[in-house]
Amino acid sequence: MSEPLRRTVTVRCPPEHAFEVFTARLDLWWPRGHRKHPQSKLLIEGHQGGRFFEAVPTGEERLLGEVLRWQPPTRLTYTWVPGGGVGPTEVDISFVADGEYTRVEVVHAEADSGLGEAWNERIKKFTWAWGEVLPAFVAYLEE
Amino acid sequence: MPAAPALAEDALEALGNPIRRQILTILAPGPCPVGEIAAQLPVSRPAVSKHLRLLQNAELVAFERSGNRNLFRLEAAGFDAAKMWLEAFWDEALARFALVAENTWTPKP
Repeated sequence: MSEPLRRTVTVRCPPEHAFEVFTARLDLWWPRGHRKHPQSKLLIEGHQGGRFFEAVPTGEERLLGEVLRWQPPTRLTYTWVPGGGVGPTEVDISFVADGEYTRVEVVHAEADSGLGEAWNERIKKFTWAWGEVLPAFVAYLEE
Repeated sequence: MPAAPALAEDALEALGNPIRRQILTILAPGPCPVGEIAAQLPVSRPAVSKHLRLLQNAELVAFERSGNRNLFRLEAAGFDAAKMWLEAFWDEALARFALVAENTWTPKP
């Protein structure tokens, strides 16, 4: 798992619209079952340091990650703790204009490198163990 | 998670705990007896055994006997399951994203 996961999708609209849908309408396209509660709403706050969270109908807010880079309409980076336990991981999305299309490139990696100024101590501490494990494991397998 | 394969779920759960991630780091260089694992951790030996059982259940570690020594080693199945789960997630997510993005966009005439 220490190789980042890469996925690309091309959509017929400009980057401004793709970025807006990806962020402001996250709840609409995020796979249905991937929520703690079926009636939850997923939200991402549009600024660096903003929260990526699940708003549960009971009023509870479940933190899923944090925005590291907010650069509309070309780039978005956030941490994500997927699957209710693992984590954290880092998701980096680029929106690349291509004529009347936009190529949306997803790179999903363990949050193990390039910890910039946006990372506070809490996150650094949290990511340390995760970042150590998988590269070591891959090295072990390749021996 | 819809259709999250049980093994992927177990692996993701297991990886969520810092002590268990530390155990995987200890095992990364090679197989290790439980005593040596426990000696490097700030928790009791029974607690270490419990974490090891969870990791074994998630197929992130496996148990092997070498001579008269009982060793734990890393196991690929759990890691693979977690990776496949993530790949399936993104395939579904991006397909849905493309639908929403294209259906909400009206080009200016």
